[in-house]
Amino acid sequence: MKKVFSVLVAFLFIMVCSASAKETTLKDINLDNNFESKIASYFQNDTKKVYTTPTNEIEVRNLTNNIVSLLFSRVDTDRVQLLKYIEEPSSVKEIQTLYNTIYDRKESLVSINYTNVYEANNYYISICDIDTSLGHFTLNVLLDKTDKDYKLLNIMYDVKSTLNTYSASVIDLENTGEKSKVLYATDYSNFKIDETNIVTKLANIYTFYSSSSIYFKSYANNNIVSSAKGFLICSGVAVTTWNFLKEALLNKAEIIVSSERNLTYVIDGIVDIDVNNDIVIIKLTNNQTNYTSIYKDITLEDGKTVLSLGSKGSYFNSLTPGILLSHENTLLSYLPIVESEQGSLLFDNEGRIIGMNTSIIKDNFFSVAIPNSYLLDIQNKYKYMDFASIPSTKLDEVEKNYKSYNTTDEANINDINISLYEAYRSVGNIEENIALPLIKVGNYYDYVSFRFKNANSKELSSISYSTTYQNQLAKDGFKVVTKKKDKIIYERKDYRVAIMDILDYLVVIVEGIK
Amino acid sequence: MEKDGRKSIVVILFVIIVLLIGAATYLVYTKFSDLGSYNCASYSIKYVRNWTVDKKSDTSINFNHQSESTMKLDIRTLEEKNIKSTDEIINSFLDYIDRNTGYKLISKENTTNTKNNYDGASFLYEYNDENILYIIGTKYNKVFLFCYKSKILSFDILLDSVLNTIYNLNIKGDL
Repeated sequence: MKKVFSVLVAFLFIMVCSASAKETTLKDINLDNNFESKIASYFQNDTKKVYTTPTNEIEVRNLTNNIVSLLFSRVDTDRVQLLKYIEEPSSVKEIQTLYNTIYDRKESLVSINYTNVYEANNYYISICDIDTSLGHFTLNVLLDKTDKDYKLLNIMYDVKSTLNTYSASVIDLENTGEKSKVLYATDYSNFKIDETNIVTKLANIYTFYSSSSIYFKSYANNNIVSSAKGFLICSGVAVTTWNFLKEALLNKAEIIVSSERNLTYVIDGIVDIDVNNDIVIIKLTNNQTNYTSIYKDITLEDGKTVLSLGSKGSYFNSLTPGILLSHENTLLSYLPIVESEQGSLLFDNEGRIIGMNTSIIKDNFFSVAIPNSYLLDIQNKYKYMDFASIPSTKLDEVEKNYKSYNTTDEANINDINISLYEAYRSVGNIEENIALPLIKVGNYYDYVSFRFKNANSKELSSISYSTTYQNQLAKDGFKVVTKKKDKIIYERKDYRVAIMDILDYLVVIVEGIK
Repeated sequence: MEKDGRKSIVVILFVIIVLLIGAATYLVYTKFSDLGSYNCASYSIKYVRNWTVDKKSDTSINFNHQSESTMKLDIRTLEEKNIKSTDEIINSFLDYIDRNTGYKLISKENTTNTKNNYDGASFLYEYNDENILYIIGTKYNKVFLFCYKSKILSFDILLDSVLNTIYNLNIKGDL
């Protein structure tokens, strides 16, 4: 009886294992051999050609070194959508090995596991671990969730060298005056590019918007403090993120505005700031500029391709494709951009502007953009205005108004009375004598608090940054009344000053003694 | 006899003086001290008197401040089967926070800022116009969660008294 029971348990165990293994079999991915062989051939083909579809001409130009890899979205068994460029280098050989491993040599595949599945709306993004008889590799995949399992929607491949060779050959051809396009060979007649024709769109975006896309960088002590993309929304009027400007103001940094063609623009002043939407409108001194056309009434659909015209290294434009996940109020996309790409334009798969990426990037995968309707309102407001009459506030004025109001990544507090602030900051000349960025100013009755961020708190205690300030207090007649490792209190007949090391902050509280 | 009587008077006077000093000391350290205290079977805590005790029990204590700021301490004793490492407890806490959208972590420190150096961490969040400091720590099978919540404008100003309070937390009981 005991033996029978053991056998039953073993049987059940095997059944359970089989069921769970089902999630990780190739069958669930349901890739098509025919499709794959076409893709493989595509890469093996002579890279000196520019491919076109029988019906839709594709002419790819100037896809320079910035664009380093491709994402294929498999639309159905016989269609492929070229979606994504990412920066990880990889060789054609690796890709072919990958394809061969996945498609032609099914028997060599050991297991596929979706690890670290991120959920975003109805989509799931995962690093897919694939074990084969040839080795282990990973793929970034976009998944949809069914009742029992994940369904594969997109796979992302890296093919840097292919594209580099390809774009170089296109440029060579163009230099020799030859028109760089050929038709597909007949054996590719069934190979359909998705009708959104994303390659053309990429080229168009790159060509048309590069001239109105601009770079913002701020420098202090010869170091870059912050960088962002932005664009010209009207002649002589640019927009970027408030986060960029805020960082620059906090660090008293000099702002340089330039285009990819090395044109440098001079900021005349700040037209408007919308902290909640993370946007700042900037007036330049030169109004002889291109500007970006913003479309009205664009219907958005979650799950569709979006493209960001960013700049990975802050020097050249680069396109990053992603997927729109939601579009209520703000746009949430699966779009792995970096912080220097805040302020970059976001396009739909028709190459139309649908928004501007803000500084909010979540988990390195998800980015938040403000929608084009908001941008259109800005454009309509200033487009027809006489350039000279567009009001702006000089940068140093803006700095004066904002530097006392805190910031960095933390909330803006703007309701402390300025005269109170001025009176309390003069005690020991606090801002001049503490070499840390002031990020918050608080107030409660006769107390005013100053919170400074110490990014090096692990190496240097925050208190150590207050030495000059303490010397100034001593010079001004303050006496030490309490001294501990993380707290020092000074007192004079009119003020009491507490200097504290808390978390990674230096907090100074000045109390007015009546 | 007279000598003995004088001796008795001296002893009585000495006792009275000692009692007076004791009473004065007690008054200074209780009624007139800046610090109040609460002592129960599972913990003791001292707090700056500009905070008032709202509710208290053997497992929690709540404080209010006239600025509408609050401090709250919760202590739980885990059953043996539920005892987890401090890291696991912190992870559970962070999972809980992650489910509450709108909380923005702005600072973190791997210390509980307690005089007994309880194992744990401190997290500073921003939520709307408030700053919220969570300190989560463990002692054997006990877990404590301390929460200080205040409007951003007054948060830093009360922080010293808050850190004094958590510094003086003493969780009672051994293994």
